[in-house]
Amino acid sequence: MNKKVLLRKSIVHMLMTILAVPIIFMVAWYVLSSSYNYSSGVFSLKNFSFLIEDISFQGMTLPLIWPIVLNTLIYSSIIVVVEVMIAVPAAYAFSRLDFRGRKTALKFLFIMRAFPGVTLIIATFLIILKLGIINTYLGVVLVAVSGSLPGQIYIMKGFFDDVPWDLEWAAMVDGATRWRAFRKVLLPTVSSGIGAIAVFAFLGAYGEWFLFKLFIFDDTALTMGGYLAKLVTKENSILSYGLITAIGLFYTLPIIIFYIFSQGIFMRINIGGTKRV
Amino acid sequence: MIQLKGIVKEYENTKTKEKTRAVDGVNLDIKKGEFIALLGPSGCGKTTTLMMIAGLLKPTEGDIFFNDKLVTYMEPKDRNIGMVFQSYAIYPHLKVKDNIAFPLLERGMNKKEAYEKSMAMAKILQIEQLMERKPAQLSGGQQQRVAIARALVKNPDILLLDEPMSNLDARLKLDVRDEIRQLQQKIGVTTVIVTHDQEEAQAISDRVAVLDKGKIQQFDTPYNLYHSPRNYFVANFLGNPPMNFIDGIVRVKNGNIFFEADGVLQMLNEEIPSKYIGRTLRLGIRPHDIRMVAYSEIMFRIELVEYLGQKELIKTKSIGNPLSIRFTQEEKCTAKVGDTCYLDFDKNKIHLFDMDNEGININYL
Repeated sequence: MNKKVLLRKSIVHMLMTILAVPIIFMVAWYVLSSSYNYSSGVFSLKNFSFLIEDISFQGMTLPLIWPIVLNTLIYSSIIVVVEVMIAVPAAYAFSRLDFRGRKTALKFLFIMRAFPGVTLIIATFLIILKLGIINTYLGVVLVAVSGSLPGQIYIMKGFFDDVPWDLEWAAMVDGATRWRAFRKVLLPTVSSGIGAIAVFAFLGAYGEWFLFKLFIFDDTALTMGGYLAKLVTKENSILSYGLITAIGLFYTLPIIIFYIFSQGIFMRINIGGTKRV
Repeated sequence: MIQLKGIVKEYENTKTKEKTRAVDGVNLDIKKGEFIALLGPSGCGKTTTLMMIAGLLKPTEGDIFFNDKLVTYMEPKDRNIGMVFQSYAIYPHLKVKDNIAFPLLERGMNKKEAYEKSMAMAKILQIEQLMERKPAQLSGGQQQRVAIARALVKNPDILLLDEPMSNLDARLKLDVRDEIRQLQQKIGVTTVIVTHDQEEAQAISDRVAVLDKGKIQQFDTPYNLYHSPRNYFVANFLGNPPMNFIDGIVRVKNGNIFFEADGVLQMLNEEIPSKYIGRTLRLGIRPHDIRMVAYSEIMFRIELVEYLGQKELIKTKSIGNPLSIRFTQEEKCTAKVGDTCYLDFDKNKIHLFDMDNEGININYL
């Protein structure tokens, strides 16, 4: 009996190890490349000089990284605030109110959540152009938010659905108006949900590069994602892998740290996030 | 104190446009300090009625008065009611003391006074040692005490209890029931409890309103409900083991009035109105109003003997038709399963229901 369990366990662990090897290899290569020159076999931190100075490479100059970092933080914060401000009240309405067209709107949300946004990109570009908000954050934010809101509302609605009506009713009997019951009782109860969609919004914004490549022509207005994308795809020329991985590492580090500290919230998303239609 | 006048609550099915009445013309008059139970099977409209008293639902028709003041369209927060929900609905993000103080703070009472009052109420409910805890750290019984404390701390005119004991285990239920009753008598707050548990309703309340299909079937003291049910529904719903029912015809033989069914011939009281002679009625008799006798015109075969502690429940089946009768007796049963026995109904305890007239007990006509 005990031997059987041991055998089964060792087989499982062996399989998992084999599957993990390529991933570990990739990560190791990625980390190593930033400071190790494979052809010359020399370690150096030369690739990290982008942290202190502009970089010229193959006749192309990249702006200094720190304004880009600031852009990233500003852009991500805007996205988080806008998405939370819209998704929370919208999800409350979908969860609690009985309005005309609720079911249809919910179905539409569901479709929108899975809709391949890329197919609309030319039309979107034209609209943004006609509105005169091309090359502005407003344009990027509008497109980014409308793309991710359906999913965010859906997740948030799941959290509201999990809160029994009794709780709101109790607050109303205890002297609160509907608005106060929402603010004083319901919002704190779904705080982990709000945390969850804020995290999703932040991660989405932090990783956004496509919309920047599309709508932003001014290199100094890029965010980290866009910056890196430009570096990788510029004129199809092959850039220094060392430089790309060094910047990539710098870009990834905050996310890894963030994941370590916010694991708890992510566990709860799996439980509360996707319940009921 | 509380008056419901012709309360109707209608729901419309959004697809079929069909209207169903959850509550269908309820009239209730509850006196100050009374403990009232709304009792009925699920879907009878009892919780809907309570929600309308609380103001969480608005009636489609009819009016609600508190102390002769019209409150039908008043917001719940302005009604000065305390309510305990089935799930207790304790605010999960607040400590016990903040939960209890919540209604006082919502009224704008200053913090010091609010927390002092909460502490005093917690002492009455013996939860003062739990004040710093979060709801997740409490047992079901403790959560319920917190809910009751929160409902009572604002000194409400009316206390509403929505199945408050359905999540407690059987033993705890008995204790809590007594405690709620004692607390209510001490404070003297007018109380309405919703329950589907007849035993609970009868034990705890001054009067019970039995509801079915959105209508009040009978509103009376527990004693009267049990001993003189107004109709077949009430007779059938109350009592455990349940009342026995036999459909048969009332006949006159040799100047005596008899009830006759297949395998049953039972003498009745003389007070039967003559219009029922020759009519089909439903006879109801409680299990403890039936005796085994040496000989009678009711011969049954014993099918099952159950031992219930201080008495025995015997299930008998008629010979040749599917009718079965349950009765209890206190002395040890000498008869065995398969024996035939003769039964006699206590004729003063017999109820007759006119099933052609909504099952009304003919004594009520």
